[in-house]
Amino acid sequence: MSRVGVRAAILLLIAAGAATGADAPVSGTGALPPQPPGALSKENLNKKRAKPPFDLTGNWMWNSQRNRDSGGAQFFPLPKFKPAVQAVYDEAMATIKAGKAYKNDEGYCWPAGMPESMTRVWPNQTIQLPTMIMMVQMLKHEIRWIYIDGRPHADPEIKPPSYSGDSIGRYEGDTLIVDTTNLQTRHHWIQNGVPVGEKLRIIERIKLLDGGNTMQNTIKMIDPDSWEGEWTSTKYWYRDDSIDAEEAFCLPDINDNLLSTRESSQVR
Amino acid sequence: MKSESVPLPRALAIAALLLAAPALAHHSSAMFDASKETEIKGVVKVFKFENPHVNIVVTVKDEKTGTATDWFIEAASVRGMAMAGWRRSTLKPGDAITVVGRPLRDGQPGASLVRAVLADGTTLAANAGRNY
Repeated sequence: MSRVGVRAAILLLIAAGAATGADAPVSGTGALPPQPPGALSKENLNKKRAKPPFDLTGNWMWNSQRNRDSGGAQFFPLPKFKPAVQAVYDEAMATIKAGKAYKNDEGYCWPAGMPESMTRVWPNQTIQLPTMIMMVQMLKHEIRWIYIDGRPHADPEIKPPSYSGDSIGRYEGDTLIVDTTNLQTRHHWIQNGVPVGEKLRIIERIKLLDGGNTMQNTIKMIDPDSWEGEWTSTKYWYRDDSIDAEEAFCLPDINDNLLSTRESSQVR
Repeated sequence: MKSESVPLPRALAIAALLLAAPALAHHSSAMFDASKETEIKGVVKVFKFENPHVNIVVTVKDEKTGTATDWFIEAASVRGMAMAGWRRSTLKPGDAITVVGRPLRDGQPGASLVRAVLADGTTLAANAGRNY
């Protein structure tokens, strides 16, 4: 083919491509699949519904003394881990015993995420609306949105995995049951040496005790890829509404002055 | 200048480290030796009275060699320290200070604050028995 012929052929191909692009059907109109009404919409807030057995609104403080028997920030008793998770756990325990942190992503400003974000000693500021319970963990301002308006779990196709997960709550008698799924696995740990798996499902059974001054949460975790059966641990918080939350970001320049967050203090 | 290490009840310290510490901090504290206390005497270089960890950088001068080393002191939350008497204006660069802290196990110049003696002789604890 002559040089002119080659040029003509190239031009034809470009023109054909442009025409194909122009004629191709445009997918998507900008609309999402049908969604529940927003938790803050008047329509949803004003909807008639049964009165909840309790209102979690308050400032919940981690009860270190009472939680000591169930492992403190760890979730005791431990389940029987699958071999791959057991190997990670053993490595973490050996690392900590040797005086270093093991893959301490939280120290590098990754979120604690669920369930670890519930075990911090900083205030857990909780606000309950008719449609939603919002928990703000002061440390790094991690937020949980627990929907109690009867909606189903969000479609993972349009709501990707997250560190707090997708939480749906409902009442059973005097107990609030919160089902959390769709958790982000990247740099996300349940506790020392136990990574969050893709199939992790967390079912919390929350009760108010002591005249509303104690929050009891029996946390059941299921992940057939990571351990046998169910992993359950009960934790307690006490109400201290005299404390207001403050800012507590994890900031790189604060870490500059914390040698404990440096590579030399870690096994990454 | 550093003093000799002071041993503490080891089992108690390790139990506290494993169970309580991870919830207190935004990072693990396994790297601090809870069985020892080290004295760090020097001059304040940086005082950040901020959450989640108040921190102090203390410059320590070796009298014999003249070399200066920065020690990185990690402390509790603002509220935990405020309850123990600390304020944002408690320290400024150039102030003399003596810090007692739990040292890093690997020998780096870092420690977790136990208490500090200020230039006027006031002693302030790391917290008032609770971080929050």
